[in-house]
Amino acid sequence: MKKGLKNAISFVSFICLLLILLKISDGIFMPSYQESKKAGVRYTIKGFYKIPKNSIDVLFLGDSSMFNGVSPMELYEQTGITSYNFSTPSARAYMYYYWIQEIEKYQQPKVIVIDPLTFYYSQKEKETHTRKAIDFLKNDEIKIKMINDDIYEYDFETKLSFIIPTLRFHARWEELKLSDIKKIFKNYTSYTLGYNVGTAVKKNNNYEHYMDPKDKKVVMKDYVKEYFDKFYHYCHEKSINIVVLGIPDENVWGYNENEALKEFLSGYDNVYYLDANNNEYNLDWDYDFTDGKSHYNLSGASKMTKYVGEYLTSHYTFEKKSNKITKFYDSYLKKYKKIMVDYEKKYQDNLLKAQKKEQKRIIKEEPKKEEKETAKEIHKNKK
Amino acid sequence: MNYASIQFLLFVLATFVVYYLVPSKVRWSILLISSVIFYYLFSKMLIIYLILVTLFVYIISRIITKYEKQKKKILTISILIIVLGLLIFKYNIFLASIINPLIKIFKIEIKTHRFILPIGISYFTLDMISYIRDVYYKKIEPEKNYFKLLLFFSFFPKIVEGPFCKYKDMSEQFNAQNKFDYERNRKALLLIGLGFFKKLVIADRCALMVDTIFDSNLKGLIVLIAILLYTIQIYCDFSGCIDIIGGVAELFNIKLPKNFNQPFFSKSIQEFWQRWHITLGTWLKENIFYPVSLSKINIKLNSKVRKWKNKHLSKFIIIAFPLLFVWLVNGLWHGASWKYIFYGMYYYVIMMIGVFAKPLFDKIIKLLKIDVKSKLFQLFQMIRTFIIVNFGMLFFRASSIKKAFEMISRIGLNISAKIIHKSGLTKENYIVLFITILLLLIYEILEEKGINIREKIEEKSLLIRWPIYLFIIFSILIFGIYGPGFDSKNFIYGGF
Repeated sequence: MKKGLKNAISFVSFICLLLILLKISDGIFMPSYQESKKAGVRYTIKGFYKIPKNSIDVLFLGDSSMFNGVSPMELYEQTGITSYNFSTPSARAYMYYYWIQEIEKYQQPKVIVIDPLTFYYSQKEKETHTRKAIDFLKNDEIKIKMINDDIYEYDFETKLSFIIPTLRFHARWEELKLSDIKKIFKNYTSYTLGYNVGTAVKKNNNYEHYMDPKDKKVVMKDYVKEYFDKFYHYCHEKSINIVVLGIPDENVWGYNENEALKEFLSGYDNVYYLDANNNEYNLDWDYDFTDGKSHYNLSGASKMTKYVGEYLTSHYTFEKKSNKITKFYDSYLKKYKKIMVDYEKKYQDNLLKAQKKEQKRIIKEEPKKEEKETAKEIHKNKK
Repeated sequence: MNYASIQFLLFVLATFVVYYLVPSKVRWSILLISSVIFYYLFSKMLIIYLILVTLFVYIISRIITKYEKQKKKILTISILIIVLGLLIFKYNIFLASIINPLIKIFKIEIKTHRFILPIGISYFTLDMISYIRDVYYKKIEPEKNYFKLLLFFSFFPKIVEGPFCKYKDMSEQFNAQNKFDYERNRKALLLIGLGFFKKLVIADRCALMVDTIFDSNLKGLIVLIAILLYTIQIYCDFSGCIDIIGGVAELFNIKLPKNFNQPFFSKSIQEFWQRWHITLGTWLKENIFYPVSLSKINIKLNSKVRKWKNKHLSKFIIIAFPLLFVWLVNGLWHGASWKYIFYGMYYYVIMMIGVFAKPLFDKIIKLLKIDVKSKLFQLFQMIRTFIIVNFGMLFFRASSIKKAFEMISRIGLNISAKIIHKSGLTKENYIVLFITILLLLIYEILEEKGINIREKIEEKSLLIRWPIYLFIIFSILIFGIYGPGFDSKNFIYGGF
């Protein structure tokens, strides 16, 4: 009996050691997914689990437009509303249904603001985007349910690789750097509360006509209807209000998509569509984008956040927070302001460069423009 | 389900748990149920073929001892029927390609069909022949329980890649009171780990380079390296699988016969085939060599040849005749094409040259005053044998005999960074390959010296054992060739 007990302890201890080392190897081999110093997908999802339970009023869910578009910390500073931006690049509509189940284990938001750009993406997506949305979730029954969903069509080994990421990323051994090993010691606290800070500045040249009606019919995809329906009913059961935030995106969005969405949402009670395409918040198409298309930099995000904040405060009342929670978010706000100093500096540098570039372009094109105008006048006079 | 897969490990785990939960008397039935499930997962309804052929063998083995006068006829006919199944499933297209041109003048044509092979057909067919013959020669009593016989032929660890087993050894182990033994199971897991290491880290890594070169038109030293790496690939693939199989069987206290005995330390081709795929060699010796040697034709031939003046030549013919059949069957067993017959004949011819020219070689050795017991000469013999084996493996791997010769013509001494870059492996992977092959060589040298590595590891304290286990596990997890981009290649010998 003694030998048997000794063997059992030895075996269990070995398995425990193996699991710990596996966890460390998962941390080393998983890619960084373009994370910056204090923000990125890993910060967004891991950081979520560090905030106090049942402390957030509002939840933001979406793809990269939302990821870069709304700053919960600024929202808190302006309005006192606590929120979290749980978004990942190229997320799909079906992820909202599983994300909300996972989030709801830790938080009970009164309002969920979702990004409808995801409704217009194809059902299949690149593996990197799926991984960003799932890999950093805790290994629990929701994650298992998510990877077993038929929409993914994953084989057994792929499903297992979401639980043990080393199985998927082990081939990265050839490209490992010191920074990969440092990752396991990093503190993934998201002082931005999930928000991904964009500091690049690029002019958007195509915004003028993206909301013009086009000669095409846009129909909501079947998988979107199916999963939004599930999401809607889940939120309804939990008495969570849904707001759909139409973030301007001249890449994916347009008049037809906007109209199709309104028609789709009209079939659901208590789902409000906040159409930001009207630009009531004075988005600067020249300097508020990182990529000139669909992702806001911190200036654009600031304006969007204020706009959303004004809507939320005028339509909802939120419970007063306990001192403990207020203290927590205040401490986060302090840290947020500290890290934003760097981001702000980078943004200002990029803004200056962009403004200089624009000035040069104007100076270059202005004589040509004047020449064209003069030639037109001469031609007109001749006639 | 691949042996080198997580699903297989989970399957083994489930069987293991149930096996040790049930009373020891009925544990063999758990192995049977698992084997049937395993077979069904692989071959679906073709399990019916296995069940029916086993029933046939069961009935024949019960009858054969009761009819003394007709037993030889029964033996012959039953073997022909069993082999017929294999011929139809595996060889019908090849045989038709030989026979059809010959019978064309009669306006007859044998229709062919590409059948899905029942998994392990090349293995259990030979096991069945061996079993019936053992019953015939009264080496064993016929099994009275059909299900125990079915277990022997379908035993899931060995059904796909062998080894060939003797019924007597296996039945004793199936019927034994197999108790749970922690140390034994730990050793078994270590063997499984070593198998996965050989397969996923070495064999499949070699395959990335080998497949690229064999499918390319590259010339130079890289072709020779690819041939060499293929030999290592097939060894690590096959012996790795055998290690996994052996380890799995050991978990149930079943010891399977050894199938490899450090074959690259062989000093001759004869010795090589006594160390490589040992159980196939044993099967061929008992079921082809001896029967042909003792056949009326051979006895008649022997009696004529012994009267020749040239004793060396007569001795040569006495050996050459039965060995021709051994190597023909060896080649054909590996595959249904001329390439595999050529493969068998390649070794046959080399062996026969060795036997025939032995007096000449002995004279040369005497003339040059070579000490055959010296380490240098033994090393020469090993290298010589290794080179011969490498070219044999080239014929085995190449898509055709023609392609193999074409590859030989492309061997050269030139090599460049550009060619290495195109060879299917990165610099880092070559380094890993070099290190792991070196580790394998050290392991093989120690085993050749009679040091049982597993036993030595198990004797050590936890502080030494655990790092070794973790090293093996993480080497497989990190450096293993598996996952998206590379599917852990199905075991080479599993195609049989």
